[in-house]
Amino acid sequence: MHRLTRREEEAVRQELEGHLEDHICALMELGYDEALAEERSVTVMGDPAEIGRAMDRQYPPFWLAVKRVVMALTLVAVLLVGMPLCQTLDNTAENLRACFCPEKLAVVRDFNDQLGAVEELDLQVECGDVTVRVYQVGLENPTGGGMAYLAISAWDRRFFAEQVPGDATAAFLWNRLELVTSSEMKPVGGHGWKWAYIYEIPVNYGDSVQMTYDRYGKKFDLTVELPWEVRGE
Amino acid sequence: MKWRRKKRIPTRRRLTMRWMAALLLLILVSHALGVYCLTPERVLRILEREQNTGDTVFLAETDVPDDEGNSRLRLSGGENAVILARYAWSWKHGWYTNLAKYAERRQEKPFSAAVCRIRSDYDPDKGQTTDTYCVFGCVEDPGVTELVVQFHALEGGFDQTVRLTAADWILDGTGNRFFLCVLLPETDNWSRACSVTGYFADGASTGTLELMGAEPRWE
Amino acid sequence: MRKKQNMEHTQLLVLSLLAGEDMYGYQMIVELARRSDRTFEMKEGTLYPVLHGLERDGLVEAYQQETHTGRVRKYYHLTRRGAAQLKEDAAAWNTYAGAVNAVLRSSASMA
Repeated sequence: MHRLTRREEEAVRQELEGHLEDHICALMELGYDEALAEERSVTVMGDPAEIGRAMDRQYPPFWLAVKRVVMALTLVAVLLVGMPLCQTLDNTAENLRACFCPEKLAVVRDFNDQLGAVEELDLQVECGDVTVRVYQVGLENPTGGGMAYLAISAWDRRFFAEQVPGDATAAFLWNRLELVTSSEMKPVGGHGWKWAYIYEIPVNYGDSVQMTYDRYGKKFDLTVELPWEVRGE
Repeated sequence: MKWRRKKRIPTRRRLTMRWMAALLLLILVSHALGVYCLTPERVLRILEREQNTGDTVFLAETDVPDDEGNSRLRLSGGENAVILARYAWSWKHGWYTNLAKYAERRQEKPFSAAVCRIRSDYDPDKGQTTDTYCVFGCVEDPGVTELVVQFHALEGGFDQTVRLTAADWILDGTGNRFFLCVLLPETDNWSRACSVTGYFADGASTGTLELMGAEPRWE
Repeated sequence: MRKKQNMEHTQLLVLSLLAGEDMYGYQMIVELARRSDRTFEMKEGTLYPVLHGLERDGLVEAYQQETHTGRVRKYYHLTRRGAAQLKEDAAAWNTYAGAVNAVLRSSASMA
């Protein structure tokens, strides 16, 4: 049986052996002894070579060849897209984290752990398919000027949209946000993780941060209040 | 009665069909997620999402000059942006883009434009670099009838001026007028300036948009 | 024992055996001998290739089931296509048999 695969051959063998067993059992029930029953069954079965040839004719090579080609193509496909698909899942996970638990991605204390005041916020605004949210603010010195820290997360509400390859998924935002305070000094910058970003902004006492974005037809304007403390005398 | 398990034995044909279904599913999921794009449209969606530009549609395409490869330059435009990108196909990555430039549309301005270097070749025998630039954008003000694109070669290369008129506009069917202007290749051009000036029907100028630099700026 | 007839109509016989209930190979041989009053004693070498061919063509489908002794047996089940094919083959056989009988009757009445 040349045209059968090993598994198919094994299955046929099992089937025929089972048949022999059934026949032997039946003959033994009639009174034959085991050796005679075996001999009779095997003889009655016929020429094994002929059976093999007849079986072969029932297994034309077409579907097997097609199956092997498809299996090879699938293997190639998995090798090509397997890794990128996993990265896509990773990106989606980051997106979800930015939406539900941005604290896991970045908190103001990552930037500066000597903060006088930290406050949790939930200021949200929509920017096309992306939602932008200020989720934390921190102040180095709540009773005077210094540095303020803003933690901002952004996520695409279409969680399974086509994935942007690479790291800086919300780069379009982080590079273009305008942060204005009464201080003449420009924001120093920040650091972030794909969909969450912490900005370090020089402020004077009592300032709030004016956050604007205006690009590609999407604009928003947010005023972020900082957790100043009343100066005691 | 002891519980007897029944296990269906699939034929070769059925098994093959299952494998084909699995392969098809893998390909479709890869396409939908943008991992292996089967069409340039999917690549465009990724570009749109990268800068959050909103929807755009393909407007025109042209071969990259002198490129024997399989890259094509496509212009796509929408409400908020005009995107010029080079799309190519490979069996390893599907459709992908190896160059993309965005022009932000400012509808309060007379027109929007950007410049992009679409090709750069270095000839080691002659020690020469040849660059090809391309200016593209959208005419915002309906009164603007002509655009003049000027390439000033400050060091090496040569100056170029191109007049764009009504015949050159690429229309998208909703009244927007886009344009795409591929300049002649410049050899050994080390420094340059590029600008676009618009003119109304009565000859009045709209002002000049300087394109080179970090952001286009109006003068 | 008309072995020649056995070979030609094996498919018809097998399909009609399965029309009643699902069977495995040995069971089919026993049943066939019993129903035909030992006229048809099919050889294993004939039956199994035919069964695999029918499986390939989609006329029967196979499944495995454990016996009470723990052995695994391959059962065959008639599919809808198989049932339609059986109807067709049986009709063709009836026409053929009817025609032969008609000729025999008329030649008998001649005699």
